[in-house]
Amino acid sequence: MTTRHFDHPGLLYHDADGFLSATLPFVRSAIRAGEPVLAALPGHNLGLLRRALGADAGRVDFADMTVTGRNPGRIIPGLLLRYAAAHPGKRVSFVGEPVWPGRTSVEYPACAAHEALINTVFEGRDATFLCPYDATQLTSSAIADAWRTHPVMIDHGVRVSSPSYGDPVTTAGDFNVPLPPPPASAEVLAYRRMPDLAGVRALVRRRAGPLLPRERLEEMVLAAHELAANTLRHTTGPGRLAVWTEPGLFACQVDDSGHITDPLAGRVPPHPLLSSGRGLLLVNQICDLVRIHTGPAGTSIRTHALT
Amino acid sequence: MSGLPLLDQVTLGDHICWTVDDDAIRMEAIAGFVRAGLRDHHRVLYCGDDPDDVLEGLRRHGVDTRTALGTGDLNATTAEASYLACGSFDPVATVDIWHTAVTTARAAGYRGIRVVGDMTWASRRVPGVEHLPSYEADINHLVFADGFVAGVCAYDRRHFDPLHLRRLLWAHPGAAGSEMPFDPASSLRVRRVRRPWGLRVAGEADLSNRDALRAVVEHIFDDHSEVTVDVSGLRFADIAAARVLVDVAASGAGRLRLTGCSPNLLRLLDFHGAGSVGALTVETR
Repeated sequence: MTTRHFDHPGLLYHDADGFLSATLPFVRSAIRAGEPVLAALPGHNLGLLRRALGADAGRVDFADMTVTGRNPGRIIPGLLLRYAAAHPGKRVSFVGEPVWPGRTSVEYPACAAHEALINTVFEGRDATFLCPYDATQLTSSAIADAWRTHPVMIDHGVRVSSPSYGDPVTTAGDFNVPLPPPPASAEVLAYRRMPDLAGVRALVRRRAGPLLPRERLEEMVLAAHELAANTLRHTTGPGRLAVWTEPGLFACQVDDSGHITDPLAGRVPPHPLLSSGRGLLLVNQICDLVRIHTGPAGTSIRTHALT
Repeated sequence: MSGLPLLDQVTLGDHICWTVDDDAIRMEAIAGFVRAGLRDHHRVLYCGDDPDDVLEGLRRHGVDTRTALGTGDLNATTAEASYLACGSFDPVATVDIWHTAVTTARAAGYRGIRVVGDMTWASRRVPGVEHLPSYEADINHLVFADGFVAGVCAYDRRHFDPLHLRRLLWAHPGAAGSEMPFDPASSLRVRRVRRPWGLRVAGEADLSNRDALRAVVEHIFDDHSEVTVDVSGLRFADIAAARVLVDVAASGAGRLRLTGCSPNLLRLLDFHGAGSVGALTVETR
């Protein structure tokens, strides 16, 4: 295949053989064409594909999706666009599995929105994405969402165009859903003026300090700071910071009266000469999850750091 | 009275935006600041409205103003005799006033100068007042970086538009309020270093002091084209602060060496493409 186009099939696999029977030829075809190929998969499938490739594995780039793509908001800017930029002028191929059975209900809407927005970001680019979905373990609604976010689907070896695929920005908007409220144990701080930002940082330092290694702590302090600074930059009203812990993670949420109207905010780097618009991109890069619920009534952004 | 030690941590080289809205708290804090200056053999200057009232207030707070005025340790003057000596606000002439004050204080053997600038004059329709934000940013490198002058700019919240006040705040490395003491840990401290030529930057660099940092950094190549900035004391820097550092190195005006970078600052510098800026050298802590 030498035509220049964007292709984004979803792959429904029912077992390891089904997974390999589609991903292996896809990767081998890219290798034969001398094209760069990146496989970003959860550890189990990563190992499966690597072993099946044998000697060819050396010609493929691998990433553990549960690490690199832990935060779905980071996959487009931190993995896909970066990989494409590293291979200018070449057709790039990806095997990407951002939705795996262990994803929580808080993480999931960010994953589905990510799958939809790949179509927007890569439209017209010379790139192919094969997105495997575990059809036996994922919920039926997750499989239905795969049909909505992929223009074509591959099931039992048959490639069909998806009848439920729609405008990707509209579809992504359907996953712009309210977050569950922070628990009663959350510590809350209102901020309204710039000197209050020091208090935002101090609260995160104090609450996350015992949970995170020093470097990781300072990253989360930075993430909370940038979110709160965005409130002061882009809104007139005050903001509210809430921090709490859940088993295995430190959570931090910023609520304000702003409305993020750009569906790609934080997923695509702004023009290099623009001085602003990088805060959310950085927060996506740092955090293990970034969930955004935004509308005319206000914005909530929740971040997780795994502990 | 609050009794909060609002200005106790201000040291020579600091430049504070102090937003006040309570006259009693204001007087008490000024008295503490003046007392500490007289104790440390600093020359203490008050410039602003109603200097006689301030002197009276200092007396009530136990400052021996008569002796201090007699020796020249203390001087209180109106805005019209300082900031507005030309009949309008002229930033260049005002900087000259500070440079002259530094020269005479050094010659007289003082260890430093403490200034309380009551900025209420700037809420009036004074010609030239539009230059105030850039003046406040520029004096960080023109006056304060040498570490001989401590300045507290008192802005009365009751006289200033909040948005204007916010812009003025950005130009100051540090801030204090009526109930918020100046905290050096969360403020920016910038001091000139002569060997190797450059700056030592400490504290926290964020949106609240961004213009102050930018003003200082944008002038680092004025005197030398090889500059070292020691950021080992910089506990926090936000995305905008890192951008300021990368931009100045990319300007082509000189070579910038950053020493003592934290892992977070490295990440931010990298985020802004520091790796492709040949004139920027980065060293870790």
